[in-house]
Amino acid sequence: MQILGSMSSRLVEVNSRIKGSVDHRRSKIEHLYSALGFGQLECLKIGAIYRLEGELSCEEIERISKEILCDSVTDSYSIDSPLPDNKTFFVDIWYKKGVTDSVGISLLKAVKDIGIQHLSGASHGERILFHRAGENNGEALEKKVIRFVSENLLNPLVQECKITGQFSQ
Amino acid sequence: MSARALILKAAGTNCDGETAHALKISGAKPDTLPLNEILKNPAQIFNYSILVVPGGFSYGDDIAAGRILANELKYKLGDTLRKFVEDKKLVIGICNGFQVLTKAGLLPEDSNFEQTVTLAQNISGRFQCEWVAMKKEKSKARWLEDLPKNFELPIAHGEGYFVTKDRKTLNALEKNGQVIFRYAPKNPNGSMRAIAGICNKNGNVIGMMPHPERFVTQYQHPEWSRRKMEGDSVGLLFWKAAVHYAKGV
Amino acid sequence: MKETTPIEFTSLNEEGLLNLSKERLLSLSLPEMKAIQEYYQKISREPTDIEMETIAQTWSEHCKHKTFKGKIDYTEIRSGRHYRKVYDGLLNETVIQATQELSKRFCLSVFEDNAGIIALDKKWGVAFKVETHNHPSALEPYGGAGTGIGGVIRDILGVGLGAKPIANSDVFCVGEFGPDKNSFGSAANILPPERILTRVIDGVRDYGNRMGIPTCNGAVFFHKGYYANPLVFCGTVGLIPRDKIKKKVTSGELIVSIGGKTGRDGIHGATFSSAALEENLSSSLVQIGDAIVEKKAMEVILRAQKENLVSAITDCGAGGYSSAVGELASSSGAKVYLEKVPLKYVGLEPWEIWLSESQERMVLSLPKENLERFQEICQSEDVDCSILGEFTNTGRLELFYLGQIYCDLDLKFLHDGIPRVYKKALWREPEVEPLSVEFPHQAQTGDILKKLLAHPNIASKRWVIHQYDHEVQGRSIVKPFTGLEQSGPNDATVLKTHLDSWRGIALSNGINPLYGEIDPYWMAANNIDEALRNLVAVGGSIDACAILDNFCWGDVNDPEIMGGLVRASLACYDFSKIFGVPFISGKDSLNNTWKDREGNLFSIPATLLISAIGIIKDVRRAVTADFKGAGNWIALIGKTKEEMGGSHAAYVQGWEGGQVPKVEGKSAKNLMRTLSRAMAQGRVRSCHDLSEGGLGVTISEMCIGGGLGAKIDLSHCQVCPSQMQVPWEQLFLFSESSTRWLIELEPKKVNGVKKLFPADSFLLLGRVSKEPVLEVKSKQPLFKLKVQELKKNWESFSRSQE
Repeated sequence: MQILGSMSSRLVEVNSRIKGSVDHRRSKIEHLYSALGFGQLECLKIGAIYRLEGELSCEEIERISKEILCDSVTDSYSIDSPLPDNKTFFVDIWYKKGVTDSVGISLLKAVKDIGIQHLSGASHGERILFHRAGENNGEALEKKVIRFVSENLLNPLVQECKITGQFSQ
Repeated sequence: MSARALILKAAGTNCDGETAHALKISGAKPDTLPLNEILKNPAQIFNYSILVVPGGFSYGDDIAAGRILANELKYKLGDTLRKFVEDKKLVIGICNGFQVLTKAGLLPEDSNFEQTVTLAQNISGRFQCEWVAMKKEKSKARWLEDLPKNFELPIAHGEGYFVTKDRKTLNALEKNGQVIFRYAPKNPNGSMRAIAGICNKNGNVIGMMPHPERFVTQYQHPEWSRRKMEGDSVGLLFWKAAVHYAKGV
Repeated sequence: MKETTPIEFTSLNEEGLLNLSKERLLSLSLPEMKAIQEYYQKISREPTDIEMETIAQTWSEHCKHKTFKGKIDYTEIRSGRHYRKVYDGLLNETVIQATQELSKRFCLSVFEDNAGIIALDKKWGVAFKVETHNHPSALEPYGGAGTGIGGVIRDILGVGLGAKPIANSDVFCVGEFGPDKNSFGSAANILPPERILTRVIDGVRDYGNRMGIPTCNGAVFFHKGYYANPLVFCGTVGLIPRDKIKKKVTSGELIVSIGGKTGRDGIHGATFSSAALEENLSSSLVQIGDAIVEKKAMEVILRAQKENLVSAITDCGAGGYSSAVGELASSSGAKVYLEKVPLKYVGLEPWEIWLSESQERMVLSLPKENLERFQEICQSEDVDCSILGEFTNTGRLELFYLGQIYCDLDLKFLHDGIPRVYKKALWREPEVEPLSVEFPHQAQTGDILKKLLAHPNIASKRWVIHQYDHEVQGRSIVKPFTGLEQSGPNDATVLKTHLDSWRGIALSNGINPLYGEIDPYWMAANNIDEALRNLVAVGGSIDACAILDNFCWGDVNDPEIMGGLVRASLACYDFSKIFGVPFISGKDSLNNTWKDREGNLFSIPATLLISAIGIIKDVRRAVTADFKGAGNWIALIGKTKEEMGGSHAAYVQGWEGGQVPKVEGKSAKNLMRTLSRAMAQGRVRSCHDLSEGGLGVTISEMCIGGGLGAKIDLSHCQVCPSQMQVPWEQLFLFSESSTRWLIELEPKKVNGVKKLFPADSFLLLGRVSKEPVLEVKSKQPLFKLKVQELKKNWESFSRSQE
């Protein structure tokens, strides 16, 4: 059973270090943003993000990240990563509660396989790191980005987004 | 005596049927067992001289292709597999099986399960199912000698972009004769040096992205209706070679 | 019946009944509500919520096909005269009746189980089913398409005692790409067609590929009428031993559920599939599937089938357990303990557990003595298995939750108590406008051809097909792409059914809503013809083949739209009979409509998908569509008429009027049989049917596939009727007359093959040439185009999508 409430929850972000299809998607998003008349926005990174819930030690989180979430050859990971600076912000896209998140379900199994018992819930989403480019009005930008993401990068019927960054003046 | 082959099946494995057929017509006696059954008595693996990790989407390829099954093999079956490999028995990973073997550290190394290569998402960013032209390299997997130099096989994967952790690893693979197949002339997924398959230092553990089990009669080739093709198909030659090797172990 | 939630119901007046139906989203009409009220008045009690929901669900359009089985008062107006006929069950009197009258011995199970089954050989049957999943795909295309394909695979797993899926077929109809031409975009929550199609393909790819079932056949049709209501047809073929086709539930057997857990998913999906798409729908209506859960359940089902453990099985589709258990128990009875159902999360009401449409669940009837072995198999495949209750012989559906009874319904009333629907239908014979256009100068003929090749309906679908694993299971013999470097298209797919035998099946389809805009009768006739001629083109035969119907229609409360449905059904009867090809299964999805912000109701174009499955005795005799050798002759089989109505040339050129292609039943059948014979004898090197875009497109595709050119001369050709206006060459090249193929013949075989056909249906056009150039002349040269250029146009749309 997927337990939706959380005791303590940690976020692990995984990004690819190699050139590949992600770069193509980044420029596509930037292009779409300006083509739809939203303005200019720089898309710096697109990666996977995992929410881990339960009483897990730091070592356990590290092991889960290293052995399961991250491919040591091509990926890097960071746990509860902070924003690089106040010109950047994260948009995290998650499935809404109650929607099947098969990756989250598989992660529960995978963690048990490597002998870690206390993971009580897991979900999987996507994290996009944006740079605000020339845009200075924070609140207006936040609204615009939420609208852009909701209309173009997710389906509000099953997904939701969370935006993290400094937007108020 | 016919060689016995074990086809390992996990949730989401889906090429077990055609793999069993290919082994059968190549003269082996294949058994297909779910991982749960194997784990009940891991030593039963030693009744076999070929272990195949077939294609599919083990555990949905959730998180990364082959990752969860790779960990499971490492943690639950590690010692047994190590012994199996040391005995010079044959381990073949195809497509998802190749992804599993690399992530379990069985390829290209076979000593301490450390992962040094991987199969990342195709450069195109999408799943690709098509027939590709390939060439065989001179490699430690000598048992593949009977295969022609150039041939075609189907690929069907979203994560087949072969990457090594550094240049040294890549050069070592080339130098040690551990590259067995390359895509040629077209590289469909961006793989470093167009590598499509590799083996371990002894040549008895191999992994490849293309599917030889899907080309065991000439009538499976997309151009069978316009080209005269005689003799055994490349896929069949591959499996016959595997069985021939296994009989000698 | 205490302490459940009784509804105050027996005393309601008509208005109250309708309000209740609306408030609880029951989608029941007044006569239906009254019939239910009468039942409860008779047994002198109030219904519980779970009972109301169960009845509403069982009586939904999706489950009962009320319109197709209802009474229809049909009027046809021809030449000012009215002809009236009342149909007492349209489906029974057309589609099903044709099958009954044909009474083919190879039909093993038709219109009764989750799929139709025909004989493959003495030991095996093949099951085929095609479903639609339209409304969920409009709202959440990825999840909608994924659960659509997941659903039809479960139909195959749930046919007989379980069949093994060996192929998927997927057909999509979506709005035209580019700026919204009809400003439908004003409606909220409507995704643009580009996004719908991309996500639908993603959904089919991720689910189908994970299931390990090759998606090897399909089509994509673009039309502005599907703007906010795409059609997603998902089909699956399965293999089943002939002695495992019958299911029988015996009282005392266990009701077992395997696979996914139950959540609040898709509550009211069955009633929702026939309600107009409106804003503010709750999100529990759409869901995302989990293919691996279904894959594991599949392994259990196939092992249990092999070991003869189960005595009946069916899938949980619309209506969830309510439908599945209700169906299996229909002639016995059932007791179900709802607390035994494993849940995704806590907090579900008993009626929600019962009605939930969570994916990947199957229900089976298991003799108690087989339980232990069955559980062992589940364990080894890592599949959840729960015993929900048992089948009884009381004729009642009894549901309990934690010791309390929540539902006690008479199954006879539940299944047969529904009042008949009565609908009016009207058809006015369309006035045929003669094709009167300023024809472009002959010099532009080549440009029309290039435009046609680049049209998304005709252009290469490579970007879609290459994302599907169409090779898995190793059965594929004639693939979606053929020829040199797999660059040309094939008409149908051919698969080996068993890896150790040369026997196989061919799959094809026919769909063309443009003809339906003129006359749904001829649309249906053409679609059947197209599906069959595609099958013949790869080496199939109409004597060993069956077809499926999938009707997707608009608002059937509109008598004229309903009239079109009657017309199409009549053609299904006529042409099934003429060709001697039975329908074995089908489905209808009616009321495909949506409302924009202003409340305007739009209906989709009347759409009928015909899917054909044929038995191939020896797949090594199959024929592909790519030209094989320079110097070989090219012959046109069939008659070319002025039939530009609904054609793609008319579509891209904006021509109006013209005749819709008509199928000459008897001669069509003879041509198909004759061609099949010639092909079975190995006398035909390549064959490709003529459909959208006519001769011009067909010959181009054969050149592209072969990497070869062709020189053809039309000066001896004729368009019937022959007194056609000039330039008739354009008609000849782009007309879409039915039952035509191009075949490639080695020079020494020309005379022999020619003799087989009637003189007016065999025309030598020219020869395949080594130089890759398509050269067409009549009395004077028409055009000369490099095959490379044809290919560039044909592939341009696919490239833009990659």
